[in-house]
Amino acid sequence: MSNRLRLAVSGVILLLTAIPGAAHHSFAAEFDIGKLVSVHGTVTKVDWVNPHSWIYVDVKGADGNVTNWHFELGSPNALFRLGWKKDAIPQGLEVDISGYRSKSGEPIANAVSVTLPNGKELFTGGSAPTSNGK
Amino acid sequence: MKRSGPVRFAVAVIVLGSAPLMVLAQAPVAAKTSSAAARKLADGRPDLNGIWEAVNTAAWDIQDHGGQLGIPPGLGVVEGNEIPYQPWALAKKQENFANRKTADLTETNCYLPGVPRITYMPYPFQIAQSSKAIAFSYEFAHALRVIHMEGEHPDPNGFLDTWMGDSRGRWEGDTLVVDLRNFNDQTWFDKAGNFHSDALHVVERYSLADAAHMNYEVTIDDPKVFTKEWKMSMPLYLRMDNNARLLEYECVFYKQEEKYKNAPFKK
Amino acid sequence: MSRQPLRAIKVVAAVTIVLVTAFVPVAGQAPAAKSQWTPARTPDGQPDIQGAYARAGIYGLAPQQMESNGPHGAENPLDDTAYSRLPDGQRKRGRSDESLADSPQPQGEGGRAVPLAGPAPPGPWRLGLVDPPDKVLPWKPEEDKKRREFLMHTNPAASLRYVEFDARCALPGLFLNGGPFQFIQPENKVLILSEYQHYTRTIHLDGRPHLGSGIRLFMGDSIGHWEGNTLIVDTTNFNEFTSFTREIPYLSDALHTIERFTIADQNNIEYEVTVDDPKLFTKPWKTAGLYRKAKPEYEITEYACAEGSQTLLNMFGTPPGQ
Repeated sequence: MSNRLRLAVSGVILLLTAIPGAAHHSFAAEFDIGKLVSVHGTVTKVDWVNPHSWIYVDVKGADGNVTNWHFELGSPNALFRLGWKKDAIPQGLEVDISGYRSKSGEPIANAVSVTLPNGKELFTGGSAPTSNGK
Repeated sequence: MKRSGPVRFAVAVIVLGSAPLMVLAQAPVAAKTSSAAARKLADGRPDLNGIWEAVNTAAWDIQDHGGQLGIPPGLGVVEGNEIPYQPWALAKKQENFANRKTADLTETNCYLPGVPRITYMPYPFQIAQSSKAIAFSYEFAHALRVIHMEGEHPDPNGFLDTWMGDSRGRWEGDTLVVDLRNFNDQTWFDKAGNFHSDALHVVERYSLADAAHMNYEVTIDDPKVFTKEWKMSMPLYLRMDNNARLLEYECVFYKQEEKYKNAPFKK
Repeated sequence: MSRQPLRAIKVVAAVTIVLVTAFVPVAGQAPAAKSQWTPARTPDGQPDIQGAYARAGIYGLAPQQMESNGPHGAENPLDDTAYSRLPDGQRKRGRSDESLADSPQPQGEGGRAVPLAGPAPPGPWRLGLVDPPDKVLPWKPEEDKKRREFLMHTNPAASLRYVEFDARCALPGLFLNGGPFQFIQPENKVLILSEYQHYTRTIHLDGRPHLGSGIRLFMGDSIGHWEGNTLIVDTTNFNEFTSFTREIPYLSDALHTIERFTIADQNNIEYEVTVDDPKLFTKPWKTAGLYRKAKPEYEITEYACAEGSQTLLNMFGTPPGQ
């Protein structure tokens, strides 16, 4: 899996409903718009908290070392209202995630898209996904 | 008392001072009086509106405790003074107590204290009651609970684990019964390390003894931590002060001012 | 909680009506409500506006709704316009400047997921800055210079003071929050409950005076009254830690606001706020928006901020010795 951002046709790309900068922090203050990263890894944890949910993903580097990446999502309140369920992102799920890297240099990023291997959408912009991501 | 409908006034500063007169108003606020019979609202329910406060030391320790420097003594609010911890949980409580200066997130970070601790924090709270919803607004960290008088607790799989619980209220006669679930496991019941899991289920009962005193009973049910249900109870007192109202206690902000006063930090 | 006798009040009211014959409007009245809808009344006689709402307007809309000559781009290191202009697929969906050709959409966390009870009132809608019409805010030149200079130290933040208040989970004041909200109306009050940051604005309708000047609040002290179907709210006693937008990072403790909530129809409340900050501006100005009611089954829920925020840690790291 290369580090190129993988753009997919509609129905596969997963878009998040949060509005950056609508409240609490400027994207520009914390993340680097020039550093889009894409990783493939295994979900270790999801924190469903405000102001931002987090997905933690173990990513194996070229050297075989595993880094636990932290990807920032939006507020979970809107996601739950769209019908999203916690058990649709279980521990161990393999995902492709892309996002903009934190200016701190840590393995932290502001997520833009989350793709399941089967092409299912995890977060949609408007309509509610059904339970179990079906 | 009935009004005839909205009437227009001028901003008559000369006559009336700086605040426009209110058609709907009672006279400007004066000390409240306590009558033996509590007032009922138009929908027939007891009137719980007002600024209320607990007057005890449960915030420090919900069980009997003697005085220490900085800790006022107090009799416990736990019925029977025993908390039926499972054996592993009793050890955990003692560990919490030993670590209380850093492990109590409310004390350390000013995080939301959960329910029922928010009730007996030494800060007033406001009950605002309409026929459609009841809001409990707390001065501490501007905590807020909307008591939904309809609907069910959300499915935990499709909802946040909250700090303050999801509150569903109903009337049993003149008692407001509030049922709470959907908690996270991050809060303590006091500063002494009494704790719970995310299976916590709380049932509160608010009933007026008279217009200025409320009986507050709360049942704690958490099968992951306790061997059985247990209860706390205490009176709540109406704040009788002139113009009693909530102000702001923004301790998160205050703590940030202290913690980050020398930021940015040299690496 | 017993009620005070009203005789004294009625006498004063009668005298007032005799003495004062004309209604003196607040400068720059909002346009009259367009519909003839008559709201139900609460037991104490208020027009009943209870329910959950999301808010469109005030700020955060398309750039054309904001200051016309404010700092943008490189003039404001916090500016997120570059991110907003990325194509779909490279940024999160849900931009703040989507077309206003159709109904104004509520903004704010969760705002885009609010199922609305009905359509917006007939346009045109007053959203964003409405006075002055050219959207050039009446800054005192020295204060405008200071805020532009201030912004240049915000990214990276030169100290805690340069971190956006909202980013550190301070109470958002009147402007930074699109909802959802819940309005409830107990006797002699209007409460605006906010999901975001779980705060309560209590608007006192009982004729009490404002607090003394020694008490300063993030949310100010609000007293109000109804005039027909318009709730007018006067708020003072702000502290120095409120802001209006990313481009106006602070207002002063001299801030005084006058809000008008005008019932447009059963699902919409037109909103206008006069911002009067004599330390920063030479005269008051106004911004407008629309509160849109959610479907009856919609509930506000918990949005705790500080408990989950990593912003200060990300920006500054851990203080030494902790």
